[in-house]
This record gives sequence, structure tokens and C-alpha cells, in this order.
Amino acid sequence: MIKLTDVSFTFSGAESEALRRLNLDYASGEFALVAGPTGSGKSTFLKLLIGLAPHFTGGRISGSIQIDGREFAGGQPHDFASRVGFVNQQPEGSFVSDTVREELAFGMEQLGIAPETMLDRIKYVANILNLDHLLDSNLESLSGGEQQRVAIGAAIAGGQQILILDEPTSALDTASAASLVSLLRKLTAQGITVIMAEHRIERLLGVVDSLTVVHGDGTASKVRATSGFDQILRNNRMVPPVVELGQKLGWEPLPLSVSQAAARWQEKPGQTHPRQPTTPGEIVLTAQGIGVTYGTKVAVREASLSLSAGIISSLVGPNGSGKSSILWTLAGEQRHSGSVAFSDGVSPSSLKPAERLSRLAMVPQNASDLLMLASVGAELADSDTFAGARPGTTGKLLAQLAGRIDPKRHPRDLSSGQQLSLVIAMQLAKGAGVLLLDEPTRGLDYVAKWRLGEQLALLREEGKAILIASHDVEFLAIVADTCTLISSGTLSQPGPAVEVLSTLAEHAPQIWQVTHRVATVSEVTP
Amino acid sequence: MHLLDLKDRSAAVTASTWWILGVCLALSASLSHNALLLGLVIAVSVILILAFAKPDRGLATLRIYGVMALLVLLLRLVFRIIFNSPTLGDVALNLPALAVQVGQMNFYYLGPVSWFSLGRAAIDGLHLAAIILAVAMANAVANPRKLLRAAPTALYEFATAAAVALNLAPQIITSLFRVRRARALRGSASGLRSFGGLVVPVIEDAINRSLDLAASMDARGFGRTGRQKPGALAASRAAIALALLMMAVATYLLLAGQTAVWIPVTLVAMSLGSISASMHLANLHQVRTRLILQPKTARDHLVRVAAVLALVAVAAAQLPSNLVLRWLA
Repeated sequence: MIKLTDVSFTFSGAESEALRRLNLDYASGEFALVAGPTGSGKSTFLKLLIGLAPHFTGGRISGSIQIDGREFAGGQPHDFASRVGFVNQQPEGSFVSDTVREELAFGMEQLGIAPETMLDRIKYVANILNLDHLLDSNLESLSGGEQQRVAIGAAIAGGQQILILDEPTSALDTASAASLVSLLRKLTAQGITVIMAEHRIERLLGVVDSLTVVHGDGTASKVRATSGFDQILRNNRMVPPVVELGQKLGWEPLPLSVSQAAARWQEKPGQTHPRQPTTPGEIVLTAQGIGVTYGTKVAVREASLSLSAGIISSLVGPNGSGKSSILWTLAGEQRHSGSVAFSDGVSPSSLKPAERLSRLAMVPQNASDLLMLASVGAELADSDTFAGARPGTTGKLLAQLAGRIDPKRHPRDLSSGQQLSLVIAMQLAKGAGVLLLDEPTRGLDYVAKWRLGEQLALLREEGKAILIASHDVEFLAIVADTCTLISSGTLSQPGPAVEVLSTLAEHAPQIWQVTHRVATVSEVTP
Repeated sequence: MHLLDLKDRSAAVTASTWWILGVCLALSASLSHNALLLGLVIAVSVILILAFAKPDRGLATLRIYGVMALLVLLLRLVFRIIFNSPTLGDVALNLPALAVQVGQMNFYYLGPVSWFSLGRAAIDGLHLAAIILAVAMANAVANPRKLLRAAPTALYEFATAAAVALNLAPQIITSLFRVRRARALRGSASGLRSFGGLVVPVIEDAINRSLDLAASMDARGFGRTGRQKPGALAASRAAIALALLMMAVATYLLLAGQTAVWIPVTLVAMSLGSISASMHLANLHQVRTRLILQPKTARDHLVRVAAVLALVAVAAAQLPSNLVLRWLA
């Protein structure tokens, strides 16, 4: 179907190749997963397959890319368009129309498909993607999962036989991500080749037909399910929890899905050592009956919660359930009803940012929005001055969290994980006792996530009260002490994290689903 | 009125009709310095936004572009007061004059401002405000991306550039809100620095997103040229480039208002001719099709004809009267 021979790619001005001597091929109807650490070149690899690299990224390509025997290397994206459909990381940014129907038609209009055929194709695509009832809806009014489905529909409506997706589940909550994956499986059954890059692969390994790993040095290797997976996962740190469990317990072959691991566990269970609950310190911030509305839409209703020192609390819920609104309310930057107060009765919204930072710090979803200077050193110095702290305070904090980062580097050239650490260090420079984090693991690979978990554990020991809003249950299973579920703006009763997360049934942490006693690999021994 | 029965009132006419109306209004405003006419253009634009745009989108547009229009108007007045030149008429503001000597040259600032010169400045400001609001109207009622998808293949490079540009302004506004809110969390250092801190992420974000849009359009086949011969393609692109250049010059001449009106009008006519010729060339090898979801109705034709007639009337009023008389004779 699609065959790469000796393909190399170099960005303009770069000395070494970003991708080196790729020899890969993908069969018709194959479900291929592309994995690799952040910055390894996964996205660039996908862009090569549709001509966006080099045409939109700049750079040079060599080698051959054949689709159905026809040579495409060096072609423009619109030359690829009749064969290959592409879905961007943020589908809402790629929409050209107002309604779903027009969006599905756009690509076909460009390909010159006859209007009568278009109507049939729209009906067909809407049917497999469950979009029938949304055809006349406005694109802006759709949920993230629905927008993702429209983007997929638009990419294959013209009869494209290859579908390429760049981290399609990274912005989706667990349930939408799961239904997206089963939908993609459905497409491969229709003969469409799906090639998708993803960080969170815990729910994918058991489903896909092949795994392409893009290594840090620009080379890539591909193995077929499931026999080939073993060797590539065996000594890898970038693996999902079930595989890690298999590594730890010396299972052969390694389990790829919860059901495989559960079967092995039943045969020969390991020892479990449930973590001792952390004793909470005093309550430092309390919210009473807060409500947030946007126009006529109620985002949060009658929510009450409190944060204690030395505890990592978490808010778990699907996209649009009101997690961010609650965080912004606690941070004093959101108009709301009800009350929010520190233990001495002072409300965060009554404080000026500078005063507030000595008590409460928040890291928003786009942490890099807080970075504004030309070097890490300058950011650190600015942060010290602003916090009125001794020079080097922020730098020390950052070193503690993330190790040494060259102060001459530009903040925007850091990895997402390093940017996050930098922002956390800056926000905590003034010694705030409360830290709020909104979806901190978005875009982080497994190693970066563990590192973040270690950083947060360190801050907990120092007695910080931490609140994480996230839909990443695997991450929360590792770091969170308590957990509150949120759906449509309403909070459930808070409880110990493991207990609450285990109620999520098939969306519960993988290790819980296997052991039914603990939720992380570190609590299991052979 | 049965218009009210429509689920989406902006669908009363097609997107292209809205844009024709918007462009005609903007052109009429740019041709005229008549306060009454400019006021009418502004009033019509605002009423159309309120009546036909989706409520939240309409209000957002009015807020953003209304502020922009007001700003332009105020800037004109302030500049007139600061860079004042002696004019006739009753004095409105009797400010002390400031003389600044640079080398051999004397510069005068402030000084007495007459009602007449304030009025002129206000009309200049109104002129630009009317153009801004007319374009804002089309933008609020009909998604500009919709027009873009209908752009002829010959215009591909320019349409892609336009996609990036058109998308940039609204994108900058949404990013601005997000980043400003995030920056409040850091509580920032003062002045210029915090400005830089706001601008860098906003611009970065907006450009990235606009490029993403262009990339996604291209990846879906936008800009396919079919079997057009390379030579013909190059010729039609050159013709388009020339036409756009003439348009730009004509726009500048119109807005500057220093030359006779017939020069820019001729330039516009020539460039339109050039564009349609190359479009014809390109269409011979057209690979694209259109799924007509909203056919043009009599209402569309009515609105289009009215808009063009109004523009012609305004343009005719600008011609020297003896020229018109000679044509009529």
C-alpha cells in the first residue's frame, strides 16, 4: 500500500538528518501505531507521508515513497490528497466550514468528485463515524471527540485509503479516546490503512497490528503484532503500566492489554503492597458552593472542596466537565458565585497577583503562555526579582525539580516536560503553599510523566497543598492521594485516589484492573 | 417576517452575497467623504450584524471591530490636535502652541484648533471606521473561510496566503484572551517586558494555528491544478499577480484621495479583466466540483444588484460633474 525506501529527511539549516534511512511498508487495512519519545520525529515522519514535510516544514527529502506503486516523494500535499487523509493534532484548527456537511464535502470538492457521488459519500462516512445526527450542526458546537470524528470523516470522505493521525487522543478524555480507537479499528476492517502517532499507548498496544518506533537518533524500526512487540518493549522505559508490570514480574511474553495481564495474574499473582495513605496536614484553602456560568451555560454548580497541606488532591472528569473553571476560580481569576478562602479567611481574588503568588500558584494548561523572555537564565532572574527572593532561588528550585538546564537555552526550545518544570519553579519561587495544575501531562511521554510525578511527590513532602485537574488516570494513580470525580460541573464526594479511580470500571487504572488491590506497578513485587 | 423562521438567519442569502454586499459598502465608504453617507454605511453595517449574525458572534464582532473603529476615529482627532496646521474658521480649542527647534527647522505642535479642521479629521476617521465596520459585517455574518474554498485554482497561492492572513486576526484575539489570563497568574514585571511577554506567545500561537489551517487545506487537495500545462499555469499566475498589484495601487490611490477617481477605477477594471481572463484559462482544466448546499435565490440577486448599484451611484457622484455631463450628452 505505502512503501518507504531509504527515506531520509533533513531540516533546512540542520547538520544531521532528522529521519534516517527509513525502510518501512504498510499493508492495506493495517492499523499501525507510531511511538517514540517527545521530539524524536514522530510528527515529521507522519508529515513526510502526506508531503507536508518538506513543503510546509522546509527541508530536504531523499529516497522513495510509493503509494500503490506510484512514486510520491517530493510531491505537494495536494498531490497526496486523493490517496492519503491527514488529521491534525487540533482538529478544530483545521476546519474550513461552518457545518459538518460542508466540512465533509470540502476535500471532495477539491478532488473534483461529482456532486451526486459526494452526497452518497457523505452519507456513508457519516454512517460509519456516527455523525448522521450532526450533519447540519455547527462545527464550533461539537465536543472534542465529535470534532475529531468530523476531521477523520473529512480526511477519508474522498475515498482515501490511507489515514494518518497525529496524536488524536491526546486532547480527549478516556471514554472518547477509547471510542475513537474502536472506530479506527472499524475503518481498518474496511481496508483503510491507519497510521497514527501517540504518546499514551496503554490502550492501543493490544489493538494495533504493528508498532513503528522512531528512535531518538532519527532511525525507525517496525515490528508486527504481537510476536515482534516483545523484543522492542522488553528493555524499554517508554512503556504503559501493564507492560511495565510484565517487565517487573518477568512475564514472557509481555502482556499488551489489561485482559492479557489479568489472565497471567490469575495464573500466578504477585505480591501487592498497598501504599500507606499520607496523613493530611491542616486545611489551607476552602471553596464553598462555588458556581461558574458562561452566558447561559452552567459550567460548575454548587461545588465545595478543600485542599490540605502535604496532600496531592485531584479532579477527574471528561473534557468540558468544568475542571478548568474550578481551578481558575480557586486561583481567583474567574468570576464565580460562592466563596473561596484561605484558612485565614482571605479570598484569592481579593489579592493582587504579586501578593497572591506568595500563597497560591497555578500552572495553566498551556504552561508556555507564562514564558516570555529569551533565555532560561533571564526567566529565572526575572522570577527571582519579581518574587523578591535571593538571586538563584528559582534556579535552585528548578535544578531540584528537573536537573540542570542550560540557562542560555531559549525557553521555547525546551521539551514540554522541561517547560512545565520551569513554570512550576517560577510559580513557586515566592513560596506559595498551594499549587494548582491544569492537565499537566498533556503532551508528555511516559518518562517525562514519571519525572513530573517525582517532582510533585517532592513538593508534597515540603508540605505543599497540590490540586491536579486531569483525565490521565494512570498518572493520577501514581501521584494523587485523594480524588474527586466531576461530571457536568457537579462534584462527587472526595475519597482516597485508588478507591475513587477504581470505580471508573474499564477506564480505571490498568494495574487496578489487573490486581484489584493496588493501582501502580511500584506497589507490586514478584 | 418569514426571515425570522430560518434557523440560521445568516443563511438568508449565500456567503458570497454577504461578501459582495460588504465589499460594495466598504468601497462606497472609501470613495466618499460625505459624513451622511459614511454614517449610513456604519448604521447599515451595525444593523446587519445585529439582525443577521449569530448573537454571540455578532456581539463579539461589534466589540472588537467597534473598538477598533472608535480607536481610529479618536486617533485621527488626537493627531489633528497635536500636528495642527493653521486653518480658517472659528476656534474650537485654544491650546498654546509649542515650537520645537531641530537644527535649522522649526516644528509647531498644538496651537488653536478650528471647528473646521476638527470636522475634517472626524470625517477622515469616520471614513476609515465605515470601511472597518463594513468588512466586519461580512466577516460576522459569513465565515470568510467559506469564500476561500470557492477561490479559483489560479488564485491558489494568494488564497493560501489569504487563508493565513484572514485567520490571523481572530486567532490573535482568542490567543490574547488566553495568554492575558495566564499572565495574570504570574503577575508580571512592568511595562515593555510584560508587553513582550504578551506578544511573543500570542503571535507564535496565532501563526502556528494559521499555518496549521493552510497545511490542512493543502493536505485535503486545496490547490490541485489538474492537467494544466506548466506554461499556462505560470502565465495565469503572473496575470493574477499583476492584477493584485494593480488592485493594491488602486486601493492606495483611493484611500489617499489625492488623484482623480478615474485612475483607480480604471486600474480596478483592468485588474478584474486580468483576473477573469486567467480564471477562464484555469477553468479550462478545472478539477474541482462544488456541492451546492445553498442555491442562490432571487433574494441573492436582489441584494447583489442593489449593492452594486449603490456603489456605482456613489462612484458616479465622485466624478467631476462636467465629465458626467459630457457622457450624458
